Amino acid sequence: MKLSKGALLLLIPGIGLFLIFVVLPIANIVEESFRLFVPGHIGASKDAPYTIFNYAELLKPAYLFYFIETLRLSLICSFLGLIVGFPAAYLVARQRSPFLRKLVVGFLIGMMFLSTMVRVYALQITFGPTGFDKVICGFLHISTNSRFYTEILVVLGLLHYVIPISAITLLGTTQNLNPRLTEAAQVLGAPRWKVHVSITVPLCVPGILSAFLICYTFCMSAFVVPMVLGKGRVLFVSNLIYSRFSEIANYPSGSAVAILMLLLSLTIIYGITTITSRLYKV
Amino acid sequence: MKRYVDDIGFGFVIMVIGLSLVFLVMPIVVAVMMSFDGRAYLGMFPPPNYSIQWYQKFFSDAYYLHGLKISLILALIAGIVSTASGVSAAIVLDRYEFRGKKALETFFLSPLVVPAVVIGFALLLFFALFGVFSGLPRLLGGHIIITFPYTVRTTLAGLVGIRKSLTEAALSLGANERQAFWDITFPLARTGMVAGLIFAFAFSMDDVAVSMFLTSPQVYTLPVAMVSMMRTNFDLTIAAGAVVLMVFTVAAIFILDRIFGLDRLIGQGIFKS
Amino acid sequence: MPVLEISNVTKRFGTLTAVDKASFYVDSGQILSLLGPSGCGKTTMLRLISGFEHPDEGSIRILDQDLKGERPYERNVGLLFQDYALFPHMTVQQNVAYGLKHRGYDKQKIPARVSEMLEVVRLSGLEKRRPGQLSGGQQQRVALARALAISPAVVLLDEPLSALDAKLRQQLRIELKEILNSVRATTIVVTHDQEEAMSLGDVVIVMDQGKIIQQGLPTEIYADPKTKFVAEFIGRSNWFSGRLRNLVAPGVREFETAEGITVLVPEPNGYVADHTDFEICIRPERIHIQRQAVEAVTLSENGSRITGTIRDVAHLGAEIHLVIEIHGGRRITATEQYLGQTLEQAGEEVAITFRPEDCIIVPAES
Repeated sequence: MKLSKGALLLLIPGIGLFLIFVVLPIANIVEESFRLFVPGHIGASKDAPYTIFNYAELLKPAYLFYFIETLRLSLICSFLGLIVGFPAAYLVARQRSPFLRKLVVGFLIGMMFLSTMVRVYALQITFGPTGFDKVICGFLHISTNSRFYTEILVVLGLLHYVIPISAITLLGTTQNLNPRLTEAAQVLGAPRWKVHVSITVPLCVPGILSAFLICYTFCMSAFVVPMVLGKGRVLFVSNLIYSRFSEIANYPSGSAVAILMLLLSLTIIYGITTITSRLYKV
Repeated sequence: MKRYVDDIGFGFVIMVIGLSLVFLVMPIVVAVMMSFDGRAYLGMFPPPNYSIQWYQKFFSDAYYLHGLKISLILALIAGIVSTASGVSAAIVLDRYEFRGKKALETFFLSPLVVPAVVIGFALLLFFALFGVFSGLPRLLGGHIIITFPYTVRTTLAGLVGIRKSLTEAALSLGANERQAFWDITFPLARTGMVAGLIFAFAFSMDDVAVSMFLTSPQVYTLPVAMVSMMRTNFDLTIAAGAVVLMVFTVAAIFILDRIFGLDRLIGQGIFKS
Repeated sequence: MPVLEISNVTKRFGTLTAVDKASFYVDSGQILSLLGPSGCGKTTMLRLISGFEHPDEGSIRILDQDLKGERPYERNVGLLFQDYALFPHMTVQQNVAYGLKHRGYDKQKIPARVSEMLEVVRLSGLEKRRPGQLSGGQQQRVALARALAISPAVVLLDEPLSALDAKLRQQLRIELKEILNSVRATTIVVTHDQEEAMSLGDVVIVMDQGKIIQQGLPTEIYADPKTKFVAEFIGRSNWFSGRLRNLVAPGVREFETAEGITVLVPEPNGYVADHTDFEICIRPERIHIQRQAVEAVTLSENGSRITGTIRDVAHLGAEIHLVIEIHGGRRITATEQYLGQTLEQAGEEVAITFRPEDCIIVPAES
C-alpha cells in the first residue's frame, strides 16, 4: 500500500523526535568537532575558526591507544561471549522439556535485563578487595593491583551482559537447525565434535556473525563498565569522550572523538553485514 | 576411540558453560548477601551477621530517593511516549511499501548502534546551544530516543506475525482503516507493544551513559547517583539500591512471561527435537 | 546367519512402553518392511538400531556382534531420513562423500566411489549441485546414495516415499527396490503406508503399540491375518462378528453372524468346540455380484449367497466400488474390475456370493 495521509501522520511523532533529538544534535557536534578549542573556556567560542586539529590530534599514540584498547578488549569479550553463548544456545534448543527450556530462557532474559549498575557493583564486590581478588590473583600469579587484573575485570563486566545476549540471539539460529542433520552426520560416522565443526557451525554462520555484531557494538560503546571497573586505568573511548567533557570542557575534541567513534561503529556494522550477505547469497 | 575425544569435548563444553553460569550468578548472590550485611562497614565477604540496615539507609537517604523518583518518572513517561510513537512508526513500516522504507527503518533503529555516550554528549551540546530544556525535559528527550528502537522493533516483530488477510477480511466486511486497526490489528499486536513498553521501561531505568551528560544537581537518575557514590563513597547502601533495581528486573520478567509467555517471546523454531 | 537380529528388545519412555519384547531378524540382501500406525514403535525401533536410543532390555546384534552401548558413529548402519536430511551447505558430491570421509575411506578413491553411487541411483552428473537445487525425487536419491556409499551392513529407510506425490511414489517405488536389490542391501523399510510396505518388502512385520503382531510374506499377511488389527490395517475389509456352528463339510463350518445371517467359513486351525466367538473378514474384491436375485440366503458347497440392494456405485477408472445393503441394514463394500461391462445401478436387486476360503477368520477381541 502506498503512503496515505494517515500514515504520514503516524510517522510524524517518530520523525519529529528523531530530528530534534538525533539529527540536529549530531549535526551540531559534527560542526563543533571542526572548531578550534582554547583551553580555559567551555567549548569552542561562537566565532572560533574551523580546523581539523581535533581529528589530527587523535592520531597521536596517546589517543590511538584508547581506540586500540577498546577494539582489542571488545574483540576478546565478543569472542568469549560467542564461545559460551553458542553451545549454550544449542543445548537449550535441543532441550526436550519445555519447562526446562522456559526456565533457562527466563534466566537468560533476566540476565540480559539486569541493570548495568547491579552488574558493575556486584562484580566490584565479588572480585574486589572485599571478595575473591586475592584468590584469583594468587591463582594467576599476578598482583591485585596490576593492569592485567583490571583488564580482566572489565572484560568480565562486559561478559556479564554479552554472554546472555549472545545466547539469546543465537537461540533463534540454533532452533532453526534441523536436528536430523546432526543425526545423519553421526550415522555416517562422524563423532559429535566433528559433526558440529562440519555441519552445525557452518550452517549457523550468519547467526553467529549477527550475534558477534551485537556483542561487539555493545562492547565498543561500553561506558559504565570501564568507568567503574576500569578504575581509571582501563579506559574505553566512551570514557575519553566523557573526560573531554567533564574534566576539560574541550567540547570540540570530545565531538571529534564522538564522530570518529560513530564512524568506526558504522563501518564495522556495514562491513560485517556486507560480508554476511555476500557469503550467503545462496 | 572416537567416543573418548567426543566425550572429553562434550565435558569441556559443559564445564565452560557451568563456569559461566557460576560467573553470572555468583556476583549477584554475593551482592544480595552483602546488602544484608550486619556490619557497619564494608568488610570481607561473607557477612558474619545480617541486618536490613542498608535498606533502611537507602530508603531514608534523600539523595537516592530523589534519584529513584526521577528514574521512575522518566521511565514511565519515556516508556509511554516512546511506545506511542514507536508503535505508530511500526504500523506504517509494517503496512506500507514505499521508497526509502528500509532507510527509514534503519534510521529509527539507529540509536541502537550509535554509542550512548555520543547521544548523550550530542544532546548536551545541542541543548546548551539553545539554552533549551533544562533538567527533566533534557533527560526525557535522551531516554525517549534510546528506548524508541526497542518499541519499534518489538512491535514490528509482533505485527509481522499477523496475517494480512485478517485485516483485508475486516476491510472487505465494511470496516474502515481505523476500525480495522483497533478491532483486528491492535489486539493481536498488543503483546508486541507491551513487550516494547517493558523493554523501554527497563532500559530507561538502567541508562547511565546518556543520563550522565544530561543530569544536573537538581535532576538526576538513580543509576547516576549510584555511580557517583561508587566512585566516592563505596558502601553497602549501594548494594541495597542494586537489589531494589533487581526487583524491578524480576518483576519485568514476570510480567513479560504472564502476558507473552517467555517461550513465545523467543519462539520455538520450526523443529522439535 | 542373519545380518540383523533383534532379540526381546524393550524400550520404555517413562510410563510408555514404546517397544515391547520385539524379536525378529533380517537375512542378507532381504528387504523387511516394518508396518504400523503412528505410535506403534517402528520409529523407535529405527532409532534403537541406528543407536540414537538404547534398549532397556534385550539385544540388537549386527553380524553376530552385540551393539550394546555403541554410539551411532560407531555402528555400521545406513539411515535414510524421512526429510532426507541432506547437508544444505554442501554439494551432492560432498554429501555423498561425507560418510566415506569420516569412516576413513581412502581419500584418493572417494571421488570414484561417489560417481559409482550416483550411477547406481541414476543421478550421474549432478555432483556439483546443491540440495536446494534438486527436486524431491532427486534429493531422495542423493540421500540414498549417501547412505549406501559406506556399504553398511543394514540400511534403514524411514518412510522413504511419504514425502512424494502419488505418481512419483509409484515410479520411485520400483526404482528403489531395483536399486536396493542391485547392491544387495539388507534393508529395513519403516512405514505406515500399507502399499509401500507390501510392495517394497520381501517380508512384512506389522507392529502395534510396541508389539510385533504378525510377521510374514506380504501375501500371507494379506490373506491370512492373525488378528483383526492386522486384517484391518492391510487392505479393505467387510467384518462380521458371530459364532461358529456345526461342521457341514471337512474344514468348513457354519457361521452365524450377529445379524442372524448364516454363512460358510473355513474352520480355524486348532479349533476347539467351546471357543465360539469369532470375527470374519471378507475382502471386497472376493465378493462376486450376481445380478439376478432369487431367494434370500442360500448355502451350498460353493459358498454363501446373500441377497441385497445396491446403494452406491463409484466408477474409479479401473475399479468399480459398490456398496450393497443386505438383510438387517448391513452395508457391504465390493469391488470389481472394470472391463467394459455395463455397470450396476443403485437400487438394483442383486446377490453377493463368496466361497468359504474367501473368508478370513480371526478370534474375536474382547
